[in-house]
Amino acid sequence: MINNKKNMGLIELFKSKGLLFPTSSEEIIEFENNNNIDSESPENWDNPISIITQGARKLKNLDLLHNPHEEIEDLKMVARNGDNKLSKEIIEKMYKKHNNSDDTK
Amino acid sequence: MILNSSKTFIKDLAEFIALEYNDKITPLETILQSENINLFYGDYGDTFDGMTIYQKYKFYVHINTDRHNHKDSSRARFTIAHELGHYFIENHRIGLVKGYLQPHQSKNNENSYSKIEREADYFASCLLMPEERIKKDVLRKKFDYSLIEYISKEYNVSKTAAAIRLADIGNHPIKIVFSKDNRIKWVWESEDFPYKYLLNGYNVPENTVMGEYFTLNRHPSETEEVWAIDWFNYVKDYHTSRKFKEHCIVYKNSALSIIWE
Repeated sequence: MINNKKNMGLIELFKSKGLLFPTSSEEIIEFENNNNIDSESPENWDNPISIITQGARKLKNLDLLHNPHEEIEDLKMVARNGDNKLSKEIIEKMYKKHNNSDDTK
Repeated sequence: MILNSSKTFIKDLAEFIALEYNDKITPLETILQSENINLFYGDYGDTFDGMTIYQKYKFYVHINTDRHNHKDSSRARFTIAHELGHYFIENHRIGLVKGYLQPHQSKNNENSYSKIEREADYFASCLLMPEERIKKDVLRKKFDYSLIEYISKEYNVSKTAAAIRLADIGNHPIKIVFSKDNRIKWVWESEDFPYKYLLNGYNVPENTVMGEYFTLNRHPSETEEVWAIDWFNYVKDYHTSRKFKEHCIVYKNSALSIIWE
């Protein structure tokens, strides 16, 4: 019982510092200070009737597979019995094959 | 060297995948397809045998036909199975995704690079020749060179790959010696093979079948008998008349000998 009380105190303390999932507006402010909020809120987020009446909507710009760093990433690969002479032409040749195969799908 | 713990893990993983299929010849392309991995054959000069690339959240495997990795050949199959090792072994896959595994080995990471390549080779060996099936195949069969030929044909693997697998899990202790230009490049042996050390270190002993190929240009055609003292070091005096069998396969400046008692 004493332990549970102690735990509850700790949980409240962490929540008030924004370190646990927030349940009050003060905790939300603290939480957002600790966690970068990039997403935009929907226009009608404070109007539940409007949200319900608009029905199902297609999500826009939810590009989870897009990696913004892919253009600057190094080629990630391993070679069996590879040597140090992998030319740019060979790498481009492989990449071309990747792209062609992806296009045909 | 591969740690025993990771060896067991790699073996269990590879054999679990292989035994999901009833085919004795592990259907590598089916496995690739089921994992959504694209396979390409291409001519890339003398650069590599096979390569796995991670790009845009997908894995791609390239097989180099300029290094005799022709479609469905035993060499290409081993290369594909090796590349699948990089995909299925978790550490390798994470390394690929994170970009830690690069195609160019540097002096600093030669050991770890060689470790991952050995692990992928071991994975390939287990994937193509699962122990359960091999043991059934060799059960109550007397070992001789024809058993290696049989395994090689039955599983569509090279004779070298078959011999190495039989050295590991077969029913008879064997030693495999590979040499190039009269210099020994690597040796593989069963744990219970009676002699560990070769007579002349890295030089091929002259009075062996392999030695005669390099020194006398004599092309061996069948299994021959050799004395233990001609191949091995530290042969006890009372074993000087101990005989072994040697089957030597030669190709240009290379030779592979399988030795057993």
